[in-house]
Amino acid sequence: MINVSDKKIEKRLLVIFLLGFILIFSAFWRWLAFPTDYRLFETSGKIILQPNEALSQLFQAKENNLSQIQIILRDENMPWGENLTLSIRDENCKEVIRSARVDWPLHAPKQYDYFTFPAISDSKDETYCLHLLFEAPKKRKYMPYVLTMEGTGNTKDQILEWKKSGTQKEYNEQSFVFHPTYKTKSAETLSEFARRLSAYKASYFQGNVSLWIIVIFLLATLLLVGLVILL
Amino acid sequence: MLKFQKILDFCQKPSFLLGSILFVFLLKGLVFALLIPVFQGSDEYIHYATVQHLAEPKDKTWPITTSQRQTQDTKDIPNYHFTDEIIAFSQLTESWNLSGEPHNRQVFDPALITKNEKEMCSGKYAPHISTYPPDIVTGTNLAHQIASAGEKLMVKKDFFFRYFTLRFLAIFYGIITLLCAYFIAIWSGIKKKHALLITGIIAFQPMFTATTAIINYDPLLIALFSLFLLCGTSILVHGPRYLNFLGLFLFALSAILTKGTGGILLILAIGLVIWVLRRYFKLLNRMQKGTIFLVLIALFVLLLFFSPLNYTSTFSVFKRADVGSALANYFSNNIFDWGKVERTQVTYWGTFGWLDTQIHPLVLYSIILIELSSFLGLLLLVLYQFRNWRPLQKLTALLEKSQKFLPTIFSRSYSKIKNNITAEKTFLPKPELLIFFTISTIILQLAIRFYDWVGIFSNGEGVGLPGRYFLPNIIPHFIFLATGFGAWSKNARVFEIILKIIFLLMVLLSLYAIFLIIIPRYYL
Repeated sequence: MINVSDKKIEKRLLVIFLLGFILIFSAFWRWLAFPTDYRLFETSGKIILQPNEALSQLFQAKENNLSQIQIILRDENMPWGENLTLSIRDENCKEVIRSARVDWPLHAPKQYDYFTFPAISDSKDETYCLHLLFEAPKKRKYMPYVLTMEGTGNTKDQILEWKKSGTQKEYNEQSFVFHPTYKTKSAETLSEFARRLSAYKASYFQGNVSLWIIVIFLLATLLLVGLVILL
Repeated sequence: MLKFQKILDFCQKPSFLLGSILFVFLLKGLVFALLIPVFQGSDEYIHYATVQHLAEPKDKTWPITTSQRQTQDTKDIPNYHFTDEIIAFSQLTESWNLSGEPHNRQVFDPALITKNEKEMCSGKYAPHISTYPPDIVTGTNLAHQIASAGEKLMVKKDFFFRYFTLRFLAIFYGIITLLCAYFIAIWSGIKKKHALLITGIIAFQPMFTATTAIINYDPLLIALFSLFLLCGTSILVHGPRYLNFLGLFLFALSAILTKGTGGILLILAIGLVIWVLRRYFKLLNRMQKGTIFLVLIALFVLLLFFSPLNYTSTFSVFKRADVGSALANYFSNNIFDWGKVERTQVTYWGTFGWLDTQIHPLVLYSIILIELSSFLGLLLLVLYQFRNWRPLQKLTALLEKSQKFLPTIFSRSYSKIKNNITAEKTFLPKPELLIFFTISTIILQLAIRFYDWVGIFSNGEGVGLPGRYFLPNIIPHFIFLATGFGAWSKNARVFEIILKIIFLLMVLLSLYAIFLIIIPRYYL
């Protein structure tokens, strides 16, 4: 039985709040990576993910420390028992080098899903296979799908569907809508973040000022929360 | 040790805490103003074009061409009749290209950004409209006029400086709203501690902050609406005072001059005057009665001949024969269409800009669930007020009897709920104020839906029902929410804990919106 007159309740609430705070920031920190390409493109289609029939596509890493794939998948409510695993494999799509599940499912709908994994240090110029596997006990009415765009025309870059029968289906000149990102040092990451925040902003928001405003806001929020809850 | 205790005591004074809430809100407003990219706030293109147009010099010395706008596509910004500066920005950055394309991002190439920023600050693009008729907000534009005064003051500054500084005006309107929230809550009969918590909850509502950090007329409307409610609350609580009545009509008139929906405040003001007259008329002397009579006649004449809005065209749709069936269809389609309700809900709680930057449906459903549980408490509280009504008495008797046949857990829960609902609630708002807030909520709901329907009925396209249109009622909304939870609480302490939980959830929602919704969409 909870004793409501006990001030310990507030302390417990603060602990739960801090856990939520840490959860949000750990997800944010994992996401904080910047693709090297700034593409503005048209999506041309979608491929519905079939249970246990993987999709794959080859790509070439532009930098070292490949650590994240941002890809647009459409499925807002994946039921328990279903899994979506992205793996980075060798160029034959056989050996798994890294694999990851979607980072934080509660992101904005229709936006990129983030798959973060330990960085591959010597990834520059290497060709990898982006392998996407949807595991589900059975088909459902609304299946998840992956957005695609017009491919490079190079047959090597085409999406392949690995059928259960052992055959492969080719999707002609289609490419995943995805961005590979590369881990950098924390200072570099923050500097790039500040640079992006300052883009097309007033002179007083330039440089690290934008970061400082966010940091001061966070500290002030934490202080306020403490004061209000212990009131 | 004693010194520390003194500092702690000072920090926990209501005035210090209120100041802290306002300060953090200001910081949060700055964060939102910074994070939402140029022209990604709701309708910022047309609102800033209006501000710039009003700030233009009277003598138009530049060449002006007249042509009909070729496009209706809201993404095709370069073909709109906005100022040269706005068109140049959207062409240089291709920002208009991002709309409705969740897979696309702003191009963050350093060389391109430097080049474009230099270009925008070069003075090459004028802040005036060269193609008429201008695409601006017509009719009511008090908010734009105030902002245009700021634009004129900053005429020598560059585009980005003027644009972001004008966003701060909205933060200021947000602070006024929060101050109103605190005093409305206190005057309603809510304890200071609880009033502070409610103010804090409103301060962290993400959509409220996002709306009060952009160039738009909604922030001023929300502030005026709140000031009006503050005067109304004061009249109901403290009795009629000239200053309150003056404020009531001044804020109603300013709201009308800000946006069409402000007109509903006039209905509310007249309702309040009638209520006061009924209650206090006998106590007034002949002089006071005569003054009131003259003021009412003067107001009526003013409204009849100098109405700031053209209501005749709005209401002309009622002359059509199929108006009844169209109205019935509209209301049944909108109230029972879950998709539309959900759309309004998500745009009330968290849709940040044009680029599908929304909170996740599961987060939204959790919010709706919390709201429903409060609503149930509110409903039980209302029913309790009518406990002597015979059908209710019968229902209660039936429930009491049926307890014998139900498992113990049900009967225990029933008696617990009954005890909590029937406990004395000195910490909740006074009933007459809840009625006042209910009326203001219903009237705003009806007015927005009515305008939407008029648009659909006469032009085939309504104004839509985005949640931010309902933000003027944010204070009553959260007072209702608190009251609903108050109904479930057996005493003020339990109520306080519930409010603290909601406050913490709202802070987390706000952080989630900033760090996992807005930043990833616009900057990663």
